[in-house]
Amino acid sequence: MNNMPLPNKVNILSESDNKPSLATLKLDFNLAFNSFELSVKQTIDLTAITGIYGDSGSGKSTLLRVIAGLEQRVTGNLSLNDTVLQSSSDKSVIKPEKRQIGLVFQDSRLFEHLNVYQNLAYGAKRQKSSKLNIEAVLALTQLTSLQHQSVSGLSGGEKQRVAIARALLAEPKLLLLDEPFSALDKTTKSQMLTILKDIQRQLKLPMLYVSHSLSELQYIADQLVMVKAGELSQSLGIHQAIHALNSVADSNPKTSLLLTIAEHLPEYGLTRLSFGMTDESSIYSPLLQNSMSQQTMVQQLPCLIYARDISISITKPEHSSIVNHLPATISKIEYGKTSALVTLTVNEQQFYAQISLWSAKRMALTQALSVYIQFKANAVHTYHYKELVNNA
Amino acid sequence: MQAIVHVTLSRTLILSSIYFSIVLMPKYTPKSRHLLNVLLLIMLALQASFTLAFEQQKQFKPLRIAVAANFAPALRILLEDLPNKEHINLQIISAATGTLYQQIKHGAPFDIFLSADAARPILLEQEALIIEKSRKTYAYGQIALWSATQKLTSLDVLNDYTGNLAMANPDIAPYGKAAKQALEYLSLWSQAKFQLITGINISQTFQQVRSQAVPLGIVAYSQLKMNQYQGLLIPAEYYQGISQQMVIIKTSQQLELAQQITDFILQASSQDKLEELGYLAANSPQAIRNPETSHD
Amino acid sequence: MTEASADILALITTLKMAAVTTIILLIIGTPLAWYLAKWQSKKKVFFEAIVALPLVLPPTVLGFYLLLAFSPTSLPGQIWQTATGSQLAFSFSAIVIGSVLYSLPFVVQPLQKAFEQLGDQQLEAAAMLGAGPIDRFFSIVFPLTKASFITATALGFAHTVGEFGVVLMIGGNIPGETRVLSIALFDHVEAFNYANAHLLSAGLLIASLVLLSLVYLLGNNYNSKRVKAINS
Repeated sequence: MNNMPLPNKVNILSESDNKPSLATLKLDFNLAFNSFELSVKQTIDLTAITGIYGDSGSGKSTLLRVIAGLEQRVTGNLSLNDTVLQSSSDKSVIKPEKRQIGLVFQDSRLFEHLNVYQNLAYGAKRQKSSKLNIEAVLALTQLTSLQHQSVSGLSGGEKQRVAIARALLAEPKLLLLDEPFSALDKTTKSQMLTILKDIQRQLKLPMLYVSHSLSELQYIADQLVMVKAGELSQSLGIHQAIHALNSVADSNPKTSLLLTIAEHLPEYGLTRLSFGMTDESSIYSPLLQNSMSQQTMVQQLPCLIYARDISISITKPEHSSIVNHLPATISKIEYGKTSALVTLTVNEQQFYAQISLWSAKRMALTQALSVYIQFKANAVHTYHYKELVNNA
Repeated sequence: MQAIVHVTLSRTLILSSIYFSIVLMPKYTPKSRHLLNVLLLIMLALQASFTLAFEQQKQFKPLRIAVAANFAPALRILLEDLPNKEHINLQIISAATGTLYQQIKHGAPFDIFLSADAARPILLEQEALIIEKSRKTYAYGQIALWSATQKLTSLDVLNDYTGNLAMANPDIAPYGKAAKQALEYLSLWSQAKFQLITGINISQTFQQVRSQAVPLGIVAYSQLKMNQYQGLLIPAEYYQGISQQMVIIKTSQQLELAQQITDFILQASSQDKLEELGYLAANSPQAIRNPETSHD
Repeated sequence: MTEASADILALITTLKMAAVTTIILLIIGTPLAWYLAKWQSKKKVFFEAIVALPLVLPPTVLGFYLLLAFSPTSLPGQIWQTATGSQLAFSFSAIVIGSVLYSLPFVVQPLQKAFEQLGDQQLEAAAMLGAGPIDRFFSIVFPLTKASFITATALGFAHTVGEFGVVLMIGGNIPGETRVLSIALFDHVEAFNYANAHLLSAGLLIASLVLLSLVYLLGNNYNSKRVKAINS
């Protein structure tokens, strides 16, 4: 299954950081459990994919169930664009089946008595106007060859693709995804995230994507809302949100950045990534594409570099096996108990480096000092789906 | 008539098709669907034959005789000689006397009730549920000592007997009460040397002895006669006569016919036949000395 | 009427009673089982006990109380008489009502268990795809609990065929109307008609065996299909 080729990607001209709002979700509700209360008063402008991040038990799945209409004890007001989903003034509640909101569950919840095609048709049959046809969605989710199979024989990734396809065919105005890929291995997860992003681009469908994995959200979402103990934070752009979580107390500070694939260098086993059209500096990552034949496209790629993988050098490290070294300026140093978290700027892009207290002292690092940062190609993490060499 | 049949038929057809569509609706393998079709066909065939039987049977309004279960076989034998029986639609309904009594009390559509005792007919009379003066003794039951494993020659066998003895419950069954009286007469009751196995009615007691589960028992003499078994008839003077009475139910729509049948049961030829079947005739000298209100 | 044709009539009455009873049981038992399965209140236990009552109550006792209720002098009996123009006690309708009550747990319990096991997951998924409650029942619940529906149907039908006490009490053993196989069999035994009794009980035994095997065959076919699908 893993060697199935991705569909030809639609060329994306440019992806600005400020995406247009596709929908507005107004939340003002209260839902109390025995030991826990979810209390939300917030308006979220839904761009492409809004990530919802929080620890387990923080209430993020419950938030999706409230929006879907599956929690019956909710009090308050909910609306999506101009449609009132629930109103406390006239006690009206729109039932889940009438909300035109799709929900993809973590456990896929496919109908075992129906095959793949019939599962997809289940949602499609129940819509008045069908803009999407099943064959197109089968192709979009790469399920065409599986359409006559029984769903109980599918792998985890296949099941979730069926769940997504089924939800799409119900033509929702908003798609909710509750940790849809958390049970999948990394390769499958990469593939699924890539497919989901593609679907979002093609259908212009706003999505709320719940996960407890920040790296997953970093790749898929363009903005992030954090849920903590039943409360929501304001939404922030994804990179800004991730950087806001960095602190010296955090065990895994990271740099989140959007790079453009400049060229694949199979002979070196590397892919060159650039900051943008105007910037000359490059970052090298492990080769992101195995197939030589596939044409290189202008493609933007969210990447994550852990602060512990970035080191600092006072002089230009020219005689090193480490491929990535960039001139940077220190903008902030935070000292913790065992390490220091150094914030650096490279061409207006922030980087975070975690170094030992000893190094920080020995190198006499100070604010505004010009230094070099260096990190291995392997330190550049991304969920970009790397097709395997065709070994069929 | 035809209309009723059609309504019944179509109603059942609709119901059975609903029933089978529930089962058939999901996709089964062709083989099991085939089996279901066969089942449906059988249902329809049964329905058709039912309609036919229904039609034949409703030619005459039925006269329903409710009869105590243990007298039903004797009644069938008697009725074979009923004049004009081809033109009477007789339905014999048998159950325990107590059950039939409850049913009559609650409006059961019976015409004649032949009880195994006198108590229930008297109760029905007191409740004004019967035609006045229709309550009559039609026979007296007799009891016998019987074993399915050994040939009995004398009642003396009871004197030394220490095993299980089967009899009907003396508190609820007339034949049990008579058995108790006979044992008391023989001064065996208070000694209780043997273990009593009491049946809820005389039929159960008969089955227990017949199956050899109990080696010895006191059963109805008529049961032995009817099945050609040999037992020891217990003399009528040992116990109060078991008066079996019949009544005509007040709600009967065919009083004349009902009267005709009760008269037939009481006529000499019928009574003679009952004597052959192990009963005492309603006017027999041995029985008359016992008052017929022996039910208390 | 000969003995044999009387027995055939009793057989037909029995099958008719069992079929009508089973249909009614499925129609009222399904929603009842559903509410019992989904109901979260503690009061539920009380209603579960009521449904299970026929399992412990001797049939003749149940029959006796139904006889009191169906009698033309009681309120339910009078209401029936006014509504239909015919007496309820000792009618085909009476034995059907009696059998429905008597066989209720045999239909409700397997369905309730199946509905409980099914859970809400699939139903929530169906709701999110635009299916309303009735739609969800027929498109999701019924196909997924089909095996339990087959069991419930088989048990309800078989239990009704074998019923004796209730029917004896409220039916009155009237040929073509309320005289069913079990009562005909009892009559034969009472009348020392052992040959007929053996024939009838053998017939009843074989018919029940065939019917139940058929039903379980259908259930197994369905289950093995599912298992095959899961293992493939």
